[in-house]
Amino acid sequence: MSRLRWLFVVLCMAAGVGLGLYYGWAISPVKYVDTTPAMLRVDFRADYTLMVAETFQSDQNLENAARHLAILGSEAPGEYVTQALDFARQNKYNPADINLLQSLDLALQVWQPGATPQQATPIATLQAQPVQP
Amino acid sequence: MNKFFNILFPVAAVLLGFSIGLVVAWELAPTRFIDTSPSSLRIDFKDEYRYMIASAYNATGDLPRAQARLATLGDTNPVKVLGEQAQRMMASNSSMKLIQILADLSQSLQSNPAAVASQPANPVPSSVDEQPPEPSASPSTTNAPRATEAAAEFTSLPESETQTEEPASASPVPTSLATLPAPPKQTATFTPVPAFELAKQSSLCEPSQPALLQIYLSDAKIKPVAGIELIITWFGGEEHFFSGLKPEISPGYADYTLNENVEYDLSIAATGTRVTGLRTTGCTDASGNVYPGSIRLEFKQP
Repeated sequence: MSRLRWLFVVLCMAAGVGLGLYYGWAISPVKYVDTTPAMLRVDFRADYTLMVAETFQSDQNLENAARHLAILGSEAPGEYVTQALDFARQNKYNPADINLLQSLDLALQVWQPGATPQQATPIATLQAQPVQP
Repeated sequence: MNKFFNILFPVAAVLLGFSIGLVVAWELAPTRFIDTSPSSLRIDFKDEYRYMIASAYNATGDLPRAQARLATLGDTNPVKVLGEQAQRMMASNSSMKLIQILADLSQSLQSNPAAVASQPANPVPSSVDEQPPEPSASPSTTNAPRATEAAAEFTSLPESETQTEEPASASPVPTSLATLPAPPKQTATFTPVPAFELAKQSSLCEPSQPALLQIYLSDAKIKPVAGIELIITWFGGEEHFFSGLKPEISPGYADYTLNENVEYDLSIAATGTRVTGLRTTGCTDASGNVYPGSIRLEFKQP
């Protein structure tokens, strides 16, 4: 076979690779339908954390809050609240929402997993820092 | 022969290349979805996410925010899905307190039919659009509330396209719906539920629904009442369930599958209204087979 013909074959192959990639990435990409909360976009994670903070504000149940935050991944629950708080500040969340996240963040910083409510630091004594407008 | 190779080789090369491309695209370097939306979550995580929406609503009473959050899950009928989740939780013997949280949100959505009806087409409450644009931390950041973006995703794109591809490092981070002003904190107050009276009790023979206790609750204006806790007891057992978990039948509907030869008592938890001695009766179908009949109870507030 002539060299030109080999070149043509290689070009055809390259075109096939290109078509395959286009089909696999653009036309029919791998579908992720059963994702985990760890894969959520940062704003959804922050919003989920805010829901936990809103619930915590109402029931003051830190064990519950930590359990709900645990589905976000393998890091410590407080880490997710800190991340959400950073995101909230960067994106100018409502000050009331930032306060809720701060309260939960502070409470989790002193939280001892497994501690009875009597052993845990009373949440009421923790004061969230006022949010700068 | 030469002509044959002239055609075969390029075709074979394209096919081989295509296969290599697919292997790369699907196996070696598939499109990575790390910034997914709640709509793509596995069903158990969706349940958890939905429960947190209900729980946050229970704490804040902010229905528009709860609706915007529910819209991110992409459920076409949030009320129905809440009911199904409540039933799953009941089946797994979850605490009634947790189920009540879902029932409360379901009831609030049903009592705000305009908002629920607009949910599939435009799941974001109008109040979101009315918010003034929030100042943005980054010039590239869109001022549109996040829920608006989520709504656009769910209304205009198929599921596979609602996910953001990995090389989106420069993609703008939308402002969260959390920027909506928080409503004044609601203080829970006890609102006495007017007593229900048994308006009608009848036996039904429906071969498609044997041994079903059907309960319909309505107020004085014959408007169905959702979210009412019902307690069914029998010798050695008790179960709680709620009206409104099957809104496709009626917002004030609840049912319970009875066992044959067992006598049940039904109570309405909030008011203490009680119906005793509920038993299935024998029915006969067209071919002469006997099956347990159903019971229909209609309660009305005076």
